[in-house]
Amino acid sequence: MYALLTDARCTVCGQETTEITGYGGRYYCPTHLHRFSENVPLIWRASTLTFSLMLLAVLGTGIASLILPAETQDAPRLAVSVGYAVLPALIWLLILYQAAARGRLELSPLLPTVFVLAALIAAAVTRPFLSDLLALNLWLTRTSQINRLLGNLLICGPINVFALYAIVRYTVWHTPIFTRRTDGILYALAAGWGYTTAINLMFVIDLGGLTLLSGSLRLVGQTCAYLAPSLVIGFVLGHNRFENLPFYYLPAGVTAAGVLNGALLYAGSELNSTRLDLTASGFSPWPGVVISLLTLAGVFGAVYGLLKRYNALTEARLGHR
Amino acid sequence: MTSSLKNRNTIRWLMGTASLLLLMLTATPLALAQIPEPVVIQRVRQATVFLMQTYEEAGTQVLSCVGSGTLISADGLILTNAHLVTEMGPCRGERIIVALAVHLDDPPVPTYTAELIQADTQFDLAIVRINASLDGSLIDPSTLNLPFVAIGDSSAFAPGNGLTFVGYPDIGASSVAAVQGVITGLTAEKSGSHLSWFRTDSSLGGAMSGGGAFDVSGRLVGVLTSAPATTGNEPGPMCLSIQDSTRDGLITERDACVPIGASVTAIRPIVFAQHLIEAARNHFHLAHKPGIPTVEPIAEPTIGRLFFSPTINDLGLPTRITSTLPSGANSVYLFFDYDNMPPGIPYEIHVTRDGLDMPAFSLGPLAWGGGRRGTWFVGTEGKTWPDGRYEFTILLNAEPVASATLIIGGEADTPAFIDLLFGIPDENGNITMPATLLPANVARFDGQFSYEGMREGQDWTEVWYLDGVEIYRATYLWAGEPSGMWSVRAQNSSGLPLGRYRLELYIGTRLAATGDVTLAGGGQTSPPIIFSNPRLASDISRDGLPAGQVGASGVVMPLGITALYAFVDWDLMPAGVTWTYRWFLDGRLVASRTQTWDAGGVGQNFWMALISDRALPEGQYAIEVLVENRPMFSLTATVGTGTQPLSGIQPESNEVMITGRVVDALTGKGIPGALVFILDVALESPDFTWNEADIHTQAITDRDGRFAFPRGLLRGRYYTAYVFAEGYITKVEDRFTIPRDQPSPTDIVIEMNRP
Amino acid sequence: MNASLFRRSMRSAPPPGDLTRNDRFAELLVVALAVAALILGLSLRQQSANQTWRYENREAGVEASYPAGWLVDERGDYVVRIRDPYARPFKTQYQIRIIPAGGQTSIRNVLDGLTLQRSTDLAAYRVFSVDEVPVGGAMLTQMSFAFVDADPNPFIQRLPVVVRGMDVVIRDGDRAIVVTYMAAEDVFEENRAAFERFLASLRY
Repeated sequence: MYALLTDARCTVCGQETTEITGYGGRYYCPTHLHRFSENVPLIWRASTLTFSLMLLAVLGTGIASLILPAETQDAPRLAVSVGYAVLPALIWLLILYQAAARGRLELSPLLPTVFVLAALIAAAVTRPFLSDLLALNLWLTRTSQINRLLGNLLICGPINVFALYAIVRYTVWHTPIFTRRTDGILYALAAGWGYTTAINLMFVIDLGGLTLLSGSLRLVGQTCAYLAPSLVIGFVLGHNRFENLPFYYLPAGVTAAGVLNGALLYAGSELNSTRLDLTASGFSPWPGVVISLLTLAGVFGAVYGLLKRYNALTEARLGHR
Repeated sequence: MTSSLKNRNTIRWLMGTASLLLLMLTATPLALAQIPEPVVIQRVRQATVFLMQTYEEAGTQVLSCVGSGTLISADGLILTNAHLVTEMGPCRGERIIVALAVHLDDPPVPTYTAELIQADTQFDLAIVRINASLDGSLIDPSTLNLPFVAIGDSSAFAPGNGLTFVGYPDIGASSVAAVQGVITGLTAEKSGSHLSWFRTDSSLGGAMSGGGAFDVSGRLVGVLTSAPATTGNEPGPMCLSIQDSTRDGLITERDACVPIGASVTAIRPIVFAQHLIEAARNHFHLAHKPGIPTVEPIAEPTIGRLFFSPTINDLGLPTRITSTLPSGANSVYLFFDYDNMPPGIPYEIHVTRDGLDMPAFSLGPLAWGGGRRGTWFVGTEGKTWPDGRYEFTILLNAEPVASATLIIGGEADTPAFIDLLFGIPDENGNITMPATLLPANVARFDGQFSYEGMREGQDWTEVWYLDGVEIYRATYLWAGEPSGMWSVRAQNSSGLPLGRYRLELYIGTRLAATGDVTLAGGGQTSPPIIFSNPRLASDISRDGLPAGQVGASGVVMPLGITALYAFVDWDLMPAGVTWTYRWFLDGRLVASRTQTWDAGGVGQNFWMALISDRALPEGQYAIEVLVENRPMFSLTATVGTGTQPLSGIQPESNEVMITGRVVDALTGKGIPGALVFILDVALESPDFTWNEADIHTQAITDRDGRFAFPRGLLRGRYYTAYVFAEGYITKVEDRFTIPRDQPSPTDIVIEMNRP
Repeated sequence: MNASLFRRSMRSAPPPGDLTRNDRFAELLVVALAVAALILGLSLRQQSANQTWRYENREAGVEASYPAGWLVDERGDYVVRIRDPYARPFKTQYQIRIIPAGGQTSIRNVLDGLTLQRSTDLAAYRVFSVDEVPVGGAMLTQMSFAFVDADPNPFIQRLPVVVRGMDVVIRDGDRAIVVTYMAAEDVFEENRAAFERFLASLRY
């Protein structure tokens, strides 16, 4: 606890009050003191459900591609690809808004704004910058394996993650709407979903539809590559919002997210190259997506655990209401 | 609803969905894939081409003939019928167009032109070589890498054996067809004796003529043959009007029609093409001294003196002339004389039994290759003739010109004269060496025969002809035994003049026996001595005399020569005699030609040459000369040290030819312009210097992502493979292994990944 | 979504508490790290994309620097042919030829000889211009041409590609060194700078 300082304002709402309480270098009014450490299970459940449905869809697509004759797999390609690109994000939003409609969750109107903003920035800024201006894909295919990894880590990762970070940081992070650590997860995931939806949709449209199995798995892998770092960004932004952490904490977290994004983008394609011979085509769609899904699950679990731990720690220090 | 209850419902829902998916996973997948065509048939179909002969009229290319052919080498040699690629019969052509089965399920695509390399009109076989693109730009054959078939062995085939027949069934509107069939019989002809034709009753479209018959291994064992007739210029089902050759804006009866003919039923065994194939592969061609030009009067072809015999002897003579055969007869030969026959005229023997068509016993239409005049026979063996009254009609260009009747199920004609043979009798009056070629100027020769059923007082007649002119006729009354041996004699104390003799024996007015014998050359026994002073030379002077290295049989010629000439003097050679010369290399027949003698009765320095476009391969050469199918002499020569083996038909290599497709792993679409290459065997990627000299074979994909390596990869070895495509992660595989049992060709798929 | 709730909460709330110094430093550091990573990545890309290997042929007396990873071939009627394995549909390539040009042979004769040969080997071969251009301080003869590249294999359905080319002729005593650049028409100009670097690196 900290002594009242006459010129301190609530870090969330800016209210000047005599009942200001300090915690971790920041100050809180009574309204917001216990709020920032609240757990919001619905956000985690919504994400868990969405990821599970994605996993089931992957299995179902795999089975369908084995059963259906090759000729019939052409017709639903575009529809299935667009579905994979768009539906996961919409399902996630739907779950959240259904909970809000039942009064079990409060959602800010900025949530869809962040989603759409992320999609627009992905479509109009980062993707053209990487694909057209830098012609990154052309260079990546001509260079060595190590350069491909470094290229993803030093170029793709920083640009994508900085965009995600900036979207959350400069829209909702420093507003009264951002009231909980969990809001970091919520808005970062919203940005991540919007970003990856736009990337995937443009990918599908550019290629005119993807194959039933390989294409769908690639989209899922890409989704994981953007959501995993979003979770990390959301965690560090959420944590940093409500404690005055050392100056390197946030940059370290964003850097880690950047490395995660770059590594998953690299692994998502590189690991799919397999043995080439007279019976093997040199490609399997599974290694990349399995690694991506496992990484996402791991990051998800870690972030969930850490956030829950910090919230519990905060509650313990503040004392129960 | 409580939270825990909701959670349980959610879990149940998830578990139910997962169970359903697992059930689908373990259910037997619906295998809706088609059973793929065997690779052997695919390869054979791809090696079958569609041929078109065209000529130019008023600036328009007019199609005159169509048919099929088979690629027998990667550099573009095609085996087909001679009538499809020469000006023979109804086919008038200046240009031979080769259309390929680019996609097996689509009609052929005209791609190249070809030039005639070898032709044998006697057997209606020819070989052409692809020489240019359609736009006329010349092609170096060594740059071609076309699919081709191996040559098989037709001698082992008999009725009942299965074959696959491949060709284009119509006028180029259908894809190449492969029809499974059976050999239903054999047909003998004078040119090829017993194995002249395989017969089949499979439904084979007329344009499949020139295509191939293949054994189970995909080896070529026969050439489908059918020479369509044209009834003038009248279109019909057998002659299709598909072009406005008159350029009047309409396709009418006045426009040239393309003959495609009826179903193909005859297959020429591949053995008759061996010499053409060897000559084509070795770039050989034949030449001999030009004959004395003669002008043959233009006259309508005639066919006459049709008669039947149940069998023929080794000399090709009828054993017994009859118009009736007993039930169960399984061998019938039809003989006939012919004159003024133009080469390539479609001829057909149409057989009916009691008015019904008998296609199994009919023959043709085929392109005539028996020369201008002579005696011909066609026989069917191994097939039982049902009882009935058979009408044999010979048609020329679909017009009936002669016919004869044979009764099966009756008694053979008696009395009879059987097995008429000719020869010079020994002191006991026996003919120990029957022959159809005897020395000229002998005082006598006999025609000996056995007889049966003769009764006392039966009148019988012997008639002798010399060069078609009757020189003797006598009628006798039989006074001998009912059966036994008899001889008739031709004799002249001054010596019988050279020429073609014919003996006809009649019992009453019925022709009972007949035979031809030729007197030529000198000596007292058969074979006669026609040729003398044989020698070989490596060159010929302008005067037609031996030049360069000259020597007798056994001479050694230096490496680097491009021709071998055999020179002989000759005497007492009558005009019109059929003679043949054959060249052998290391014991294999590499060239053969049969002609009618037209160099006069006597002379010197007649030459026969084996000529090559390049230096003659090292080896043991031999030339054999035959007259009326009787060997006259042979010469041998060695070129170089004679130790190098003939590079003729290659044994099957241990290489696997690889084709494939490079596709985008995410879209499944082919990637055009991708580079795929294989490093030399056992060279791995760390040792690759990025020098193309280290590359064993390479290919660039087409618009569908398809590629084909021009060189094969050895079985049981491993290679390093690279695949490059802009926008995709490069593939490098250091253990690209070819299993020892890998079939060839092999098709692979390479999936490229985006970064 | 309760829009009225949104308006009320935003209008009535004072701004959040000020950011601390740590917050500002962290913000700046994030930007700096992102920029640094980008600079590092782009320089890596630049270095990798412009990497060259050296080709030397002592017998012909030529050497030049060419893009790393290209394939070298010395088996044709040229000193060397260097091809980009990635380029699609036509493999962008440089060729160096040595053509005897002693006595009265002019550069134009050399180019005419090339034209005569190419017109028999290359489909739809056309010469567009022959100019004198400054290259590295010297005036060199440059010939621009085009042809259609088609695969003769009838079973491979490669679309014919229009290829543009450029010969630069350097007179070196009694021989002419002809350096040729060929690329598909749609990428000819964008790859021209790389060829000019190759030409500039040529030593003979």
